[in-house]
Amino acid sequence: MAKVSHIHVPDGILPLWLVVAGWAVTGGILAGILWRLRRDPAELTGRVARLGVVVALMMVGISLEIVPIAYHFNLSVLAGILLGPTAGFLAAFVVDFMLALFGHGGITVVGLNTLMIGTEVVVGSLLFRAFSRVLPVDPFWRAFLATVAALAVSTTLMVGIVGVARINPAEQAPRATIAFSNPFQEGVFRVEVFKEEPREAAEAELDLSTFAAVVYALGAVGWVLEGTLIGVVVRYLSQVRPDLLAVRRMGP
Amino acid sequence: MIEQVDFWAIKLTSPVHRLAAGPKLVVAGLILAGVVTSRDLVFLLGTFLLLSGVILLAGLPWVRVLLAGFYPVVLLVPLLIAQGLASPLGALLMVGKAVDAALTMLVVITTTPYPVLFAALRRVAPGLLVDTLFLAYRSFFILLGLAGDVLLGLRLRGGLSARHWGRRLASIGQGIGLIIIRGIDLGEDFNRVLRLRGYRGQLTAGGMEWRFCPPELVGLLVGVTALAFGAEHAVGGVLAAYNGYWLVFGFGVLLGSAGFRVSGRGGSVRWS
Repeated sequence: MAKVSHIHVPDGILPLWLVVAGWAVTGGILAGILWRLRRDPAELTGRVARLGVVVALMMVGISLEIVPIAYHFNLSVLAGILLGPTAGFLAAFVVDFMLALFGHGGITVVGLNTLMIGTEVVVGSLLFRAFSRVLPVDPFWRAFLATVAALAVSTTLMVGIVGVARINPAEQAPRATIAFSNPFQEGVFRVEVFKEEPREAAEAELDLSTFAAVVYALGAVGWVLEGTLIGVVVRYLSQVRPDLLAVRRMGP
Repeated sequence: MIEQVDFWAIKLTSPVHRLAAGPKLVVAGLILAGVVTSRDLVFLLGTFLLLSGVILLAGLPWVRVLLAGFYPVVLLVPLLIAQGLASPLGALLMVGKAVDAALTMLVVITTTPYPVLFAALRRVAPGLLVDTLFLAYRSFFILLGLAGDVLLGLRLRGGLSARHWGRRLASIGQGIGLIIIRGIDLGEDFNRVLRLRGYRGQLTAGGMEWRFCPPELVGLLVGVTALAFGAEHAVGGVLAAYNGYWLVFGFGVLLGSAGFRVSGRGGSVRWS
């Protein structure tokens, strides 16, 4: 199953314009967050230490794999609940960047991956706050519902990105011909390892409905697992350290 | 994985580890650009062999690093299923790019200590962002130790019984809650340390090493060649007729590194 609730897109798959757009949007959001943080040096000092710890927690969560189902948590919604939406988005970027360094998602697509994980953080954080105001239920259920909804939204965003990208590997005209040409005279030899028959580009285009079906089917199991875990964690925190869930967070 | 990577980057010593960090990052960037833009499976195979050779030369555990390099294939599974068998070469191209790009990053992170790497980032990224990276990395190891203790405690008290999934999940959740509380307390302590030291948005860090001796120049030449072969379609496609040489070069580096390693001259652990 391997964590389909929030997938990380590897390098070299998406078109360049989309990769650049992802960096531009993420860069703009990050610039705004950093500008706000810098306006208050005391707030900045407090945030940096907590941000570092929450990012580290997300990394620890990712390291703890549930072996039988090859699933690992990334605790992004929990980061949103603890940090708030703005600082949580910053945490999402740092986590994505660090994961990319370890080959877990592409380094060139950190911008897009941050948008996906950042969406989980922001939506999860805002929904948890809204549910806390309107739903008089156990904190477990508020966190569970916020997590499942946030993961569903981010998965839909991912399907949307893949749909907009119109991934068509055949369009890139991949080659598998080994050639040893001699630059000074006629080529010495050329081996065609594998030849793919030319085909209509539309024929090889990724089937978005199949992709969405696979992602939603596998993802739904992940959403419930992650929602349950975050629900348990939030209930525990609400009993032992409720101040961690109730303090005024940075930003809106 | 992260703690192992850190160990390999700091404790191993090899010709790859000794390369100056600045040129090494530039070489990695050039190879990455070549891989991402490439449409040539032969180039991607040659790059895979080359990177495998570099991993051997660095004295890294070959199989473990390669397995980590193949992890992005798991991320591609939904895309590959949706694409079906419409274009087998296209599917191979996606896999090749993802694996080569991941291996390039793994070679950098396993042979460059993180303070040096983050110091390099300080040149292009805001200080606050780099500080967060640095503190997160530092906190990770502290929390990992704490997580190990919590897991051990849970196991000893039967909280991770395989029969009771509900109880197991509840125990893991409470364990994570405990780690969070300890982590936040740790963060608050560090916050006080930063305040006392007059933190204003930038931690001091060592600079990045820039040196252009023969090993670095060879690396840069390899990087430029990789970019030229990878992006050849963008500049007329002339180099496609020579891609066999890149494959042979990659294979040669792999064989040479294997010989280097067998002769006992590859990377070794430096205990201090």
